[in-house]
Amino acid sequence: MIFTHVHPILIYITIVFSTLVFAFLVALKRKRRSTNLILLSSKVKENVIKTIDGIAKPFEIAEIDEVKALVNNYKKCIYIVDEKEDLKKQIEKLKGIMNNFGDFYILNLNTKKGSHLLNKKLRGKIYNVRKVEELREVIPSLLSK
Amino acid sequence: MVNKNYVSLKNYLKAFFYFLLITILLSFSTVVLHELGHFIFGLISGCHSVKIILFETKLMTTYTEMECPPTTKTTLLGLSGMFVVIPLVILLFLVGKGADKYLAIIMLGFNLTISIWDLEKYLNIQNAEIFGVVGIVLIVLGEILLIEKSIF
Repeated sequence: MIFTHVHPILIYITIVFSTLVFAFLVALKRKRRSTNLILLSSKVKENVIKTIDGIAKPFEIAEIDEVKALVNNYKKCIYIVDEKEDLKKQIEKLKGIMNNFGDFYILNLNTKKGSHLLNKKLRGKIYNVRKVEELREVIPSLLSK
Repeated sequence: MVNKNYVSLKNYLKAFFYFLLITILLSFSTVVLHELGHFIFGLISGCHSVKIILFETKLMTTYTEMECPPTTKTTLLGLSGMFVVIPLVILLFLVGKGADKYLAIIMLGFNLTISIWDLEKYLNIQNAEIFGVVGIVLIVLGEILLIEKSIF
């Protein structure tokens, strides 16, 4: 008399692996629908963002090059333009991803010339910020909108 | 564990392999506990040469083997795979806090999935595959809740 489970080990491993992959993707998707994203193109400002207080809603931080590889389905996105990087390159990167977000805000730390170019090329709402430190005030107000 | 505020592919992969490890350990322990149920009930029922085979190349699976007297109730022996797992699942669900409850759901799912053969052969249940489908749904549900609760 033999009591066994019907699945040979390879089928069993496939069940274990595929259910986990499916569950992981569903959990990821569900979570992103209720999360805001702050996009950066440089690690310099990451420290500034992390020290922001008073943000009620959940948010995440990512670098623009990493987001391409992930499933983009966030509720809201704030992109901080990097003044040290070529603006045209940044605009090209943004064009590829910005349609995946409900609301898209661009915080411009560049010159007036940069602001004009951003207005011309991108559909997002553009806010001009004079100092990096001002981000601490602007970001919470945008996230709570 | 994973940084909650910083999104990166590396962080997601780390989280995925962490959960893969948990799922493999949980599924393997459920299989062993399931076979332990058959083993204990086989001994109680007066069967002899009772043994749990963790793996062998002929059937390519884990199973319990025993020689039982003709009077043995095979229906109960078939069900006995659940006798250890189900009380543990109930206990984990009642006593456990937060993510423990979701581990119990996953365990129940695995137990149903691996019971198809026993249910079909010893309980004469037609379309026992339905239990397998229900089991897989429970595994996925438990994993989604566990992942959401633990890392996100």
